[in-house]
Amino acid sequence: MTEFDRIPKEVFSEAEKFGVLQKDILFAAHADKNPEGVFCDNWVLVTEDEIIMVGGINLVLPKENGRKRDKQRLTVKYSKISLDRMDRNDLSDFKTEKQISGCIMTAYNKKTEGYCLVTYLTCQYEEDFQELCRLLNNKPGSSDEAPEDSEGQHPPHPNGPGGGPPPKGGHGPHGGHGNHGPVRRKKDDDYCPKCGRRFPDPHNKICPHCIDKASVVKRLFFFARKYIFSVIIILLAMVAVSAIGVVSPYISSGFFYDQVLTKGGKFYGEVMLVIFLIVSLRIASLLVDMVNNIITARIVPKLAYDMKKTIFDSVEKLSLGYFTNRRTGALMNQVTGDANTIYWFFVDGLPYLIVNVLQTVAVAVLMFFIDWRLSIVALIFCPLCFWLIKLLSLKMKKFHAKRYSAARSMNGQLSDVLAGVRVVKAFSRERDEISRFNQRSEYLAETDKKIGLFAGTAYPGVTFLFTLSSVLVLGVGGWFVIKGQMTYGTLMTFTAYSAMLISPLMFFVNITQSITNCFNATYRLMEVMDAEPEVFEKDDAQSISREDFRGCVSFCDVTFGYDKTRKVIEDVTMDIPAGAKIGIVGHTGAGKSTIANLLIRLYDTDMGRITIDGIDVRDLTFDTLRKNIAIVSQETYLFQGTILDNIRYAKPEATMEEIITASKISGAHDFIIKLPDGYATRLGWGYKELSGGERQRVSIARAILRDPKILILDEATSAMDTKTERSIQAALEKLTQNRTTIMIAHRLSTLRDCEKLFVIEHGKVAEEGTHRELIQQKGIYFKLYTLQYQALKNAGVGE
Amino acid sequence: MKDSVFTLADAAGIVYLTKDTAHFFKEGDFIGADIKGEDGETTHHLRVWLHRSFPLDMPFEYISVQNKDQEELGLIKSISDFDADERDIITAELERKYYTPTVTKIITLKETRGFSFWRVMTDAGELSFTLQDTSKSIARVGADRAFIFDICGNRYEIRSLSALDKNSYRKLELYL
Repeated sequence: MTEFDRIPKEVFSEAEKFGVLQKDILFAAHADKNPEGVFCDNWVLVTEDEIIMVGGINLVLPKENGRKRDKQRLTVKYSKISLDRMDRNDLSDFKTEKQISGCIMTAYNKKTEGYCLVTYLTCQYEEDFQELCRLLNNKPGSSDEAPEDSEGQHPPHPNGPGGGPPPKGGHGPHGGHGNHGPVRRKKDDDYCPKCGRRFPDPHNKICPHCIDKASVVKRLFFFARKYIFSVIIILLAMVAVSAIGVVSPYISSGFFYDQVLTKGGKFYGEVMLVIFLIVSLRIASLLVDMVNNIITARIVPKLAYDMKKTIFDSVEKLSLGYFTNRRTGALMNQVTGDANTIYWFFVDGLPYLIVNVLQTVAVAVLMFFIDWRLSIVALIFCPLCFWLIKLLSLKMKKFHAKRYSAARSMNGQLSDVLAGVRVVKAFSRERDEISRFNQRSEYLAETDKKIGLFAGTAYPGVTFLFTLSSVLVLGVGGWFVIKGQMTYGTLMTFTAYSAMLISPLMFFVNITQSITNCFNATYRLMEVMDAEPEVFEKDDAQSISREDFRGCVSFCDVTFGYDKTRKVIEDVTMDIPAGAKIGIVGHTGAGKSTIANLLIRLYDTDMGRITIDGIDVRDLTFDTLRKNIAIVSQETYLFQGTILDNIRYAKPEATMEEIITASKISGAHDFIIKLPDGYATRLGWGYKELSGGERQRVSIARAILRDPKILILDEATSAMDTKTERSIQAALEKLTQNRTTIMIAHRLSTLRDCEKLFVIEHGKVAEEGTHRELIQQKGIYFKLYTLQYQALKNAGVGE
Repeated sequence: MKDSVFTLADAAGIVYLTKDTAHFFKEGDFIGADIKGEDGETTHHLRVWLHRSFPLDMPFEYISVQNKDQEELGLIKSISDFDADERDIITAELERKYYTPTVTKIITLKETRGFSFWRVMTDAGELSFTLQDTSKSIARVGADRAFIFDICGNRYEIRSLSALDKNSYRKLELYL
């Protein structure tokens, strides 16, 4: 939904043509696409009995090139293209429907008895329109009906003046900051307050246009603040190193030739003095450098540690939703890479940047001080060289990017084929794979060749330019010396200085990229660090002690979707008494696992609530939840380490006896002791790989070890044969007494002992009851049962 | 049952719709269908949903026709199995649903801090959009075709990379 004050006033005046005043408008939403797929600004205005569609273009020109970003966006003009109205009473069943690119809003038209298309939009506004549809369908209980808007529902307005010309004049300009906008969600925070653009990712309120570099730098140095003293010493040391670097050439050339070697010089003949000076300068430089390196070596790893710790802390705090989100999921992979980028910038970039800047400035000033004419000769090539190097490195960057993607595609294919070697062999596709590999390998070789050729020819060319400039300096300077305008020593000092400009020049070209990378990396890290966990523990969260925890679970009208546009479960209501053993059945993708995820609060419900012992799970501490509920999920993840480590993960202080007991119940013990290393068997890369059933048994052991009051088994025995499953169930049987057990399965035999079954279909509880009751109902459960029973019977098992 | 060998097709039991078994008509802004079942009875569907099986290579063949519960009513092997006016209705519905703006020129492409901002010329006029994680948001299909997925989930197509002008290609090249 949209803020009313975002609607251009022309839209209201268009609506007035139908006799609709601003105050009659109940909801409004912005659609940004027309049937041809072109971006535009269409407004859907909803009154008590009409839907008015104003199609047009809003010429919004944010100042891109202006040095100071305008605080307000500049709306030039809204020009109407089309105007349309629909009778709201004719329409029902409003829906948004995803298309291949973008969305549409549809409705059922009672008059024409067909479906009609209300408007086109891009996915950006899909959520808005879903809400609009919800409001239009007049579904009670939608969660966020104007929580901030005190005015609430506006009483219906009989369309008084009708089609007559609406009162003009003072009313025209839209002064109303949505004063008459009754039902709308306050979504002002979806827009960047600075430039008015919508945030690319509404969950991360960062506007990439407006993020100011100062804050990034501030953030970067935030990490360094603990070491401020060391940083100052390092900076001083750098100043000293640069100063010595600038003085040295003077002593060893200018001073040496003119004052020591030339007759009549102040220190004529005192070669030892010069040697002494040079050596002591070198020693001083060496010492300062060593001090610098020692301090750097000490604080930089600490700094990196701090940074990684902060990142990891914030990453672990985030809710699961953050990780499963596709966009941010990709972001996560970059975290380590980004930390390294920043680390290397601090170690390899920043110190040299400071030294080089100081030295270059000092050298340039000195050169002008010595002889400005010669300085111009020496510096004339610098801009040209800088520009050339910049060009070359851009080109080189492209080459490297190409090489990187070529290498990635080759390596990707290689590891793919190696991992899937069974499949390749089974379908005898070896030859094709070889030729595919050769193709990619060849392409990689080709890019490598190009890089080699380019680097081998272009860079020597630039070096030649430098040589040319120093030859020029020598020539002009030599002429000056002969004319007696300059001493030989000064010329030598000068050439030494001009040579000192070359490497900083190269450095500056490359550092710009490094700085940009570092900025981007910091920015991305900031994004991760600033992300607010969606599921968080309340400050006043309650905890229930182990003794008082009974394990009575109830779901009340729970609705949830992983992304807001698709509901996975809808209006689920379930009551599970303490100590009961219940089963959840349903097709794949019906939403069974989602129910488990919600109970342990990996996600929060969108609507409705889940209670344990009468307390909303959102009011319980994470500790209470995690200590008393254990889940064995479909995806059994075992960490690298020994089997023992993996089982003990649930309870680090567990004794060996407890671990063996838990393993025995889960049926893991029997296979573990057969392994040569027993419980000390190492798992993971390069070590023992367990089979699917074995992994499941280990993770059941892990859950049992926690001795939870609520045990959730989400397809926990799916990879086992029926016999093993039965024996584990027999062992679990004793354990599950007095414990709330929720078993999720689609193999019905798994659930035969459950006291109550819930059948989930399309995210809703379709049936519930005991096995006997459900069979009598002859509904979905009956169908499933007969299907599976039939299958067993056909296989000769069920007889 | 006869002792005949079951073919894969028998096992799959796919219903292929032809002009004898199905009739498509325009209904409101969408498309409806009368479909004759195996029992010979015709069911009237106020609205059907069409899905391409091979949207890239065979846009008008193997089109799945589904009802509102997303159950497949049948498969259109090729729209040439239908008469011209029905063919037009089906084509129009498919074109509308699968419409993807085709990028013909990249006007500006700026990357800052993990986002890239695009201003492009498409067959539908000038557009601008934002990508996050640029290289991962561009998917190449075959050697010469690419799809771009923007941050909100819209998609854009580049029909032929080699047909792009040099400047556009140069901007894009880094991310391919």
